[in-house]
Amino acid sequence: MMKIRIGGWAGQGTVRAGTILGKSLALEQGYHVVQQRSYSAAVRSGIAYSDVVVDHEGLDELVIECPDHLLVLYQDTLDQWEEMASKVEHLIVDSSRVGRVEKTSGRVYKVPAGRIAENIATSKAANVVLLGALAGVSAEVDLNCLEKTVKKEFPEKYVDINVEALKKGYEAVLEKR
Amino acid sequence: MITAAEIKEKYVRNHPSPFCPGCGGGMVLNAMSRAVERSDVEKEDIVAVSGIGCAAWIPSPHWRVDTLHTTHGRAIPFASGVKIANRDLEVMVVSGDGDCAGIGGNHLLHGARNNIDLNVLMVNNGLYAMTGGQVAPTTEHGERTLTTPHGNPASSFEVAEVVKAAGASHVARWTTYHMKELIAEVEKAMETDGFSFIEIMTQCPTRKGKKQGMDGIDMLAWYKENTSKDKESDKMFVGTLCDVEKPELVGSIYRQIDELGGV
Amino acid sequence: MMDAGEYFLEGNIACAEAAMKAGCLFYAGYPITPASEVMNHLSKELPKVGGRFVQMEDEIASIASVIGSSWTGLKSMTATSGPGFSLMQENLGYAVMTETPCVVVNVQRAGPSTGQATKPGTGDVMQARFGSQGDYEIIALSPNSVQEMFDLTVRSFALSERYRVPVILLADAGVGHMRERVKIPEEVEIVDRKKPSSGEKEFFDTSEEDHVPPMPNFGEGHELLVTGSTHLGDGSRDTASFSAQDRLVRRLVAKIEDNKRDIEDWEERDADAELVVVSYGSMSRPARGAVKKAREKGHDVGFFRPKTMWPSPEERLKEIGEGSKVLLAELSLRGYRMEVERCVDDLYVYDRLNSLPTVDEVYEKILEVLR
Repeated sequence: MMKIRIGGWAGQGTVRAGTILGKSLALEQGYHVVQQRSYSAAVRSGIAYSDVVVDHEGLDELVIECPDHLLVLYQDTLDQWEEMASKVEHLIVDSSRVGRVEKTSGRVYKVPAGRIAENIATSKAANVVLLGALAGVSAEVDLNCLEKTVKKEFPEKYVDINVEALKKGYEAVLEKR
Repeated sequence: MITAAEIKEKYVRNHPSPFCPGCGGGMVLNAMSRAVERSDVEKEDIVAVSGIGCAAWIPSPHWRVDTLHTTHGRAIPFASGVKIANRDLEVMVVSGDGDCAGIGGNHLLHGARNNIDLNVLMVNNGLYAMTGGQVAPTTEHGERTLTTPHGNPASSFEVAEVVKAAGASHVARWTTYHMKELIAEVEKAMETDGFSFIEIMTQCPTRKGKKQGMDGIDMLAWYKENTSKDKESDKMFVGTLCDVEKPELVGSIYRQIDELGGV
Repeated sequence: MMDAGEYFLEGNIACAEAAMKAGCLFYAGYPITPASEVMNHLSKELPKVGGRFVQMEDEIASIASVIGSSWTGLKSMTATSGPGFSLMQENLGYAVMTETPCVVVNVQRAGPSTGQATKPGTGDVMQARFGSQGDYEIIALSPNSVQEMFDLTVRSFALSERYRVPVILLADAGVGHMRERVKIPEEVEIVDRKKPSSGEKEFFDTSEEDHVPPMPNFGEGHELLVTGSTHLGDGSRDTASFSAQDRLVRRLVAKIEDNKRDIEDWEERDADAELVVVSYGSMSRPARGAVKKAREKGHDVGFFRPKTMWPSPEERLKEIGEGSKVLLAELSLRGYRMEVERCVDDLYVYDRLNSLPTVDEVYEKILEVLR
């Protein structure tokens, strides 16, 4: 079983990123996957996150108490998850928005996802940069499959930007490994 | 010319009706039937939708067409579903003033805004007759009813004007005194491609006339004396308030289906 | 409409796709979290298959137009959540009384009142059964996966057409907003309402064993009398007699009651165990996982999940309750509890609000009951 949480502030595309990841793992890699989203009623306020659980057939664990991989796009979100973050195997943060990371038992990857995305086209693609980074960190998450999914998921004019975002995110953690 | 007996045979069922002596309900039924008889519409293609109250009983069970007798105030959305699902049907709504402008007021506004191709006849007797004569949104300020024994502290609203402002294609007001005009107006409503609304001022001798010392005939005479086809007159205006072409909902929905290749 | 194949879909989208696959040609609705995705998707896709989509001014109007549409012969649907479901109750009863097939999806959220719009709950289970006035029986199905959001939507249409009754797909935000792999088949089971043979005039009574009279459409020359008032077999109103009320209401109830064997459906494993966990909806997933874990650890625990909430599988529940302890796990305090309580003597409850538990949380409760 593998559990991944992608969290941030509402509007940062955490649910979108979770969907891409879930789709890629389920349809391209053939895993049994459940993806859940959590958000408040406000469109642009509050913590929003997406949970992806990968397991065998008959997948019944829908909730993540403590993820193996935690991807965070926003400082306040990480601050509120301080205890959980201290226990994860891998913590990947967008270091252009998350400057302060408390001590953790796992490994921390600081990827300037917002800045990388902005250099490509727009900081909005920071969520996809972190997905690329996840592919670099996790042996189970395949970069090529993510790329295939991104190509299907985005309208044509955004495909190149997001494929680039994936690759740059992947390279960013490889340098650190 | 079709005789009254033939009209009755062809269009009316379940008589005698439960309407009180002198009630205008039967006159509205007569006007609807004659309008259909004069029009090109086939009786089999008519669906008459009504809500709750005396007026709802005019089509159901008395009109010999497909009838849908629904919940209080909701005749217009039920009728909308019928019309959107099958645009070949000619959909009539017969609704009292309380049903149409009170509990169903929001549906009336949105029916008019959508300009959906329905023919709505609001039979306005100025109170809730079936339940005993309580105050309605159409009751005049100061008027005494069962629940305004000291005079109506609230005010009435001009439903036809509201419907016109909300966007209906065709809006008119007549009374049961104006039978010829009413028949022609219902026929016109059926021809209109859009939301047609006819307010029919209708006497209720039982709940209203009795309080005012009038029977059904007196009330018809009152309509004659106190209405005018002249908009400038101080009397209540009867006639067409508006008749304009506007985009209509059902046609727009079907056009989109056609454009998208739906069958 | 999606082609047959494997997809990774959200539950609400699977529901919308299933509706089209089942032949739904009319949708009316009003925006509400967490059900809006059903409507959003159908607004885009339904016209492409020739269906009519309309957003109405409120939920009362939505279900009203769905019922109106159904009488023209179209399979018709609306979807909502708690606040909208409350507004629909009067017309839901009208659909029961007039025997109008239609599907009402309720993606339940945490209540009462506005509650927490994005959070799952199952507090509307009793409302689904008893929410409208008067005596009646109704059908409500409970999906626990994205695949079942698809499959049970299809079944909702089939049952509503078969029995001329509104069917409620009683989902929750857990399954509505969950994404999973789902298989869309080439063909699904499509049932069409019984049509009258020529000359037939009784559309609201029958001596047939299934208690289901034939249903004509508007515009076929039947001079139909459709009314929510008590009526005779030809539809004519009878607002006072004993015989009309007695015959009609007893048949409406018998129509569901006597066809229970065909309607009810459940999942069970080892339901003769020392302890049987009863659960439904999204909560039944961690509950099932916990049962599996308990069995792996050597505990004698079984699992029972009603897919048909109403009519409830009461006889099976009573059989289970006779030999086993029962632990009811649900995402509400009063959801299904009274129904299970009346069937089972030795009942324990794991009730939870706002969010789903982990498998371990339910597992701990199982151990506690076993101790």
